[in-house]
Amino acid sequence: MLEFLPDVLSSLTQPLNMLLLCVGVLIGIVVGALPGLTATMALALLLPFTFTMDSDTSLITMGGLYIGGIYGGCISAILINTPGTPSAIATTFDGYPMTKKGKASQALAAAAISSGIGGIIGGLALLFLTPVLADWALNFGPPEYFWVAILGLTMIATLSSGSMLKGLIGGCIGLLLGTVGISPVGGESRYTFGFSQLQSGLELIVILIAFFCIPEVISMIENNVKSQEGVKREKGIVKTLFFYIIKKPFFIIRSSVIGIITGIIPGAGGNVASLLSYDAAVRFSNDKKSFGQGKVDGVVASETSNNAEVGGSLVPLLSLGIPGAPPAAIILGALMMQGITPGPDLMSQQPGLVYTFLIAFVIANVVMIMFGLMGSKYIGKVLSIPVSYLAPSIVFLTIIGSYAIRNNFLDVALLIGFGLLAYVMKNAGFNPAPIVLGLILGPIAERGLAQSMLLGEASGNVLALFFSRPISIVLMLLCVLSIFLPLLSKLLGSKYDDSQEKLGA
Amino acid sequence: MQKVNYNTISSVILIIVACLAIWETKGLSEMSYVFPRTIGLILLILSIAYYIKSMIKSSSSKLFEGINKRKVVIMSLSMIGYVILISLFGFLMASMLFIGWMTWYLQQHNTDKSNKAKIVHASISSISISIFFFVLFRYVFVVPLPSGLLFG
Repeated sequence: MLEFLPDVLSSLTQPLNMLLLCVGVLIGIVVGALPGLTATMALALLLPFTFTMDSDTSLITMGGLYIGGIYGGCISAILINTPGTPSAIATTFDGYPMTKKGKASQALAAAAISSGIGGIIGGLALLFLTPVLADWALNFGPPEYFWVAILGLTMIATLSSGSMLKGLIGGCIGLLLGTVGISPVGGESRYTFGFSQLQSGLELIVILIAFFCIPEVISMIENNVKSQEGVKREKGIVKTLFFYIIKKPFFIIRSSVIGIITGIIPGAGGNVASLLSYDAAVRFSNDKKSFGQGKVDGVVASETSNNAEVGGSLVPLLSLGIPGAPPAAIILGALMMQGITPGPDLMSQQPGLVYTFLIAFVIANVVMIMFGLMGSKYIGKVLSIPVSYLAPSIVFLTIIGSYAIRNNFLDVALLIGFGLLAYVMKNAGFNPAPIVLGLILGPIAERGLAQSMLLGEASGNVLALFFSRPISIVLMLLCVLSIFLPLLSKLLGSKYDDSQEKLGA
Repeated sequence: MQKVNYNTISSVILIIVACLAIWETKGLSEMSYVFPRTIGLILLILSIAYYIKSMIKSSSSKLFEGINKRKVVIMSLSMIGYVILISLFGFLMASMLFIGWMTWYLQQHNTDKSNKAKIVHASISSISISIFFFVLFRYVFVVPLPSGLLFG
């Protein structure tokens, strides 16, 4: 790693890169704070601004945005009981009761400090796990890639919210959308319906914006922003909270590890991380009843975990080319726009770029703590921006973003068409995440399948190639586990819920 | 008899989509059809399971329950109209019209403002946002934006 230090330093000492990192974090916090505007949407909306940037500058800005966006969600969660991003869902449980008790300033400071600490731990995990996983992935052949793609799909289908059947159907729809265009091995056009523009396939970013932004923006017009409680200034609170938090290393590490592992699993986003971490905090606490009444530990557990998840979600992206969460899928799109294909080869081909991003990621978390501590109550003011101004402006930005990618008007029409379809599907219980992951994993799975078949035919035994290689067997077992474990946990979960109800929790 | 709900309708649509996906792979070489046909078949099986589930376990909730359908339909139609306007008048003018119209429409329930104030605010917002981003993308980022059939 040290041999790349000159590259990293030369990039990170450029004033423009540092400025854009700070701007990225700040915009991320502002957008993340607005209910209805998720971190994914922040990344998707600001993606076209990075088209003309250098690859390192673009990645640094996107990383800052992602970190800021996830943290920003806690501001509205604390002040108006509405999570700005789904990741902040568990922050509302104790954050808003703290605001009602007049402790909003304390809740915001605790959220900033714990988000920063969680983010830095997540960043360190990213820094050390990415090379290890990428090294391991270099041993992958076509069958392993096929199984990795299937594993990703089974995980997202089962871990994403709602019905497992709908998740699997969504994944299949995504896989089919991924086959539009020229076949990667056969070379024939499929599902293009005479549109020559579709021969290169559906543009990933357009579909990402369609599935993640358009349904949200239509849902936004339904939401009325709640009135905001005042934030009283409290002196010396930051120092007190900082020592309170760091005196609980086991609590912080547990929340961070939950976040990192959840992030690495494709499809399980920050919302899952924050809920799991909050749940663990309640289970291991001696004072269970104070949770939900405005206990600072609840805010710390949720925020540490959802920011640690950011680093975790980028580990499979940089090492395998598979995003761990929807915002990471947008970063995948940004990388591909720059001509960079994430995957195990990225570490060997562009190590300087990867390490620059990883170090910038840790720095962005420090910047985020500073912005969070200094300005979260001012950023809270943006919550009063009326939806009547926001919603049309967001649609406008999504149109720019989708057109600017390849100056193709069909992409704009596809954006609105798929966006409206995504809204209807979301209301019918089809989560957009499995569909999008299917679209991303489809080409990886197809290439793996077709190449394995060719290799198998050449060696005279197709099945042996799929089912006899050690890594393939491990991946297959993980696929089986990922399908059956959620069913098991559902059974156990219903028992746990019953006992919680009895406890009155 | 079970009442037909949105799950039943969705499952029938998905069955049709799966059949079309399988049908479309006819005439392709093995390397081109193996993956989409397999996925099409899996989708067909899952959709049939979904259909059976919807018939056995009928959901009492309705699609778009508790949603202001009028607002959603107008927003959706406006977005479709926006795309048509871009193709005709180009990006800048279409954006001004779309942002102005939507901002004005979404302020309808705001009783604190007079109708004149709503129109003025919508106009200022639409002109300033459209021109700012048009100039930024067109001249700073040098991204060509559609000029439309009538002005192209």
